[in-house]
Amino acid sequence: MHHGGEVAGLAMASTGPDRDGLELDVLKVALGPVLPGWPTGLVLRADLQGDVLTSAELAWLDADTRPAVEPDRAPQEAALDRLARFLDVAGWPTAARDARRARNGMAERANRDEAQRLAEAVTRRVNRSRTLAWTAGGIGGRGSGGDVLDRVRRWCDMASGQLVEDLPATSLKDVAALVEGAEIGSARLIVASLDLRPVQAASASEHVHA
Amino acid sequence: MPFAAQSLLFPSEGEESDMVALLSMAALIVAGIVGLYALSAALRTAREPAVVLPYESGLLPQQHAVSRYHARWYAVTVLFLAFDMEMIFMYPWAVVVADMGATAVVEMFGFLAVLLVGVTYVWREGALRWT
Amino acid sequence: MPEQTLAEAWGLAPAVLGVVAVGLILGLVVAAVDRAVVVGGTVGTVAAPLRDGARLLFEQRRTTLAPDRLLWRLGCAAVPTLALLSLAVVPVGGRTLWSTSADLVWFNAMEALLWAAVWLVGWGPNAVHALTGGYRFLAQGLAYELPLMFALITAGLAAGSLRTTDVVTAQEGLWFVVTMPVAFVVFVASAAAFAFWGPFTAPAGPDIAGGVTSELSGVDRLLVDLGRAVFLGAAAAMATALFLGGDAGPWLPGPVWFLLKTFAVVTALVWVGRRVPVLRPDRTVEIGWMVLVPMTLLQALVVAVLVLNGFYA
Repeated sequence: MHHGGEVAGLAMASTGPDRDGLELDVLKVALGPVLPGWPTGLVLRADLQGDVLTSAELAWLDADTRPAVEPDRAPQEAALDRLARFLDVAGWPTAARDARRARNGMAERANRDEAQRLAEAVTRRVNRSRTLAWTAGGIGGRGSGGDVLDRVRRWCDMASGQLVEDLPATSLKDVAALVEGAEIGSARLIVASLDLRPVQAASASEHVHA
Repeated sequence: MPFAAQSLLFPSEGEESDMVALLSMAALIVAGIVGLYALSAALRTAREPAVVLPYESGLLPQQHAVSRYHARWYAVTVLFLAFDMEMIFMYPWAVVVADMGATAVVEMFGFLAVLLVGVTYVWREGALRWT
Repeated sequence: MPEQTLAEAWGLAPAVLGVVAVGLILGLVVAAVDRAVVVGGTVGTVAAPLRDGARLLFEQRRTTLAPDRLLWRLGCAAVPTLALLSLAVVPVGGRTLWSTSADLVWFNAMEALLWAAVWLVGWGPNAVHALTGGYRFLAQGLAYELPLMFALITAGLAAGSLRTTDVVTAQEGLWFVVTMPVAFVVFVASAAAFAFWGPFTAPAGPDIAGGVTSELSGVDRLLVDLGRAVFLGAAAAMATALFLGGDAGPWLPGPVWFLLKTFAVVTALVWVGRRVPVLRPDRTVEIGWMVLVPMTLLQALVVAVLVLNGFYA
């Protein structure tokens, strides 16, 4: 069975130092490219010790083969969609459902007023939720742009139809710094709260080449 | 509290006959579960289970997930054990409070207060947060 | 022996079958109400859990690379077994299937064994998300277990007995929920936590791709889902017995009252529980120890003082 530390064709976890001063197993794990609530194609390769990411590296899978332009959508619809996906990760199915209903209502254009009312209701609910503030607050806050909660509230503003100025794009390196040392659930929330697009990453690397 | 302990440890005659009911229930549940597996085996067309790699969100796993998992809340488990032992005494205590009077209440809650001081210390040391 | 047990009143076979049937019906009610709140209620809502269950029977089973087959299967089977066995001490028709001087301890023990069962479900498939979920359940357990035990003890304290039928009888004057609202709320919330449902889904959380349930398929998944629903239903029934006067009520027969109250508890729990996002265990542990443990102890102290004054006598 054992061939150079392999069992059933797969390696066992190796050990490494931990922040608690112990020598413990480090598990190499990939999060993405297909993970609910996350941008498709984003891969987070992490070292996992227990439930904490001790190192993280992010990349876009096949970034150059993707269509460069995303389908054109109203910013409000896009914001509702992003909000719904974050709420999926945060484990809030009823709010995510309402956000999607509002988005669909806007896309159909038949019942815009009702969709707008629904969008305002769901964003108010998310904005005011003390539970969300307590469970998702205070993580992913290094650098500019505030923490997870600030970013979600910004989306809520966009989703309810307010105009919000664009934030500077976050590079994958910054994201890696944010999720390093985070619990796996926090890391999922942090990445889900960011507006990451493969287009930016691809064009940025082209810029470097040129 | 000797009489309470006795009634907890030694079931009366009626309770022994009840054991039959409980064991029958356990047997029925086990039979039901085995029956469900059998029913499923009889109903489904694909008899053999599909051997798949564990879900790693689209990529192949690089290592076996079963490892020495670092449970970072190990300090809480020790705290929990201290309290859990205490809880076992609290069950028989609850039965005899009315008979024993104020002494029982004062002793129990005095003891709990001491334990709570320990909890506060552990909390201030930051052991209740691990991420 | 103050009263007859269900087995003595009905005969062994009908009593055992009856309790198991009540457990399954309670589980179905929980699943249907949950679905109605999350997806929106239609006529097919009640049938949907049944349909899902039937589909799982036909599904091809999946197995992962080098799983711990025995422990995995054992964990899956243990979840519904413990859930149904916990119903043995719940007085459904004014009587319990099994009546001892330590009924509350039995209920507690069934729920405590769930720690092992859920961890095994997470351990079995040799998958990272499942394993993380299994350990999350243990962390969550550290948060809810003590408040839950204190809530159980508070009810036993007021009744001066750990026999559930005695606790129900002790509420003839006044339902316990009036003097112990904290214990009632903590008990129901803990029920959601040990069934890892709603705001306490973290062990099976969407952020870890379904956690302990992520690699389950076929009958295994059916058993775990069933066990969680039955546990929630059993806990709602237990809450009815311990805090809401059991089968007491005017005009209607006792069992009807009992089921109506249980249904009300389930509905309230699902309605409130689905209004909030998942609470992360690494934060609930702190709340559990620094807020809920002192609060439930204070509740127990208040009840103990009331007992000394002969309030419940």
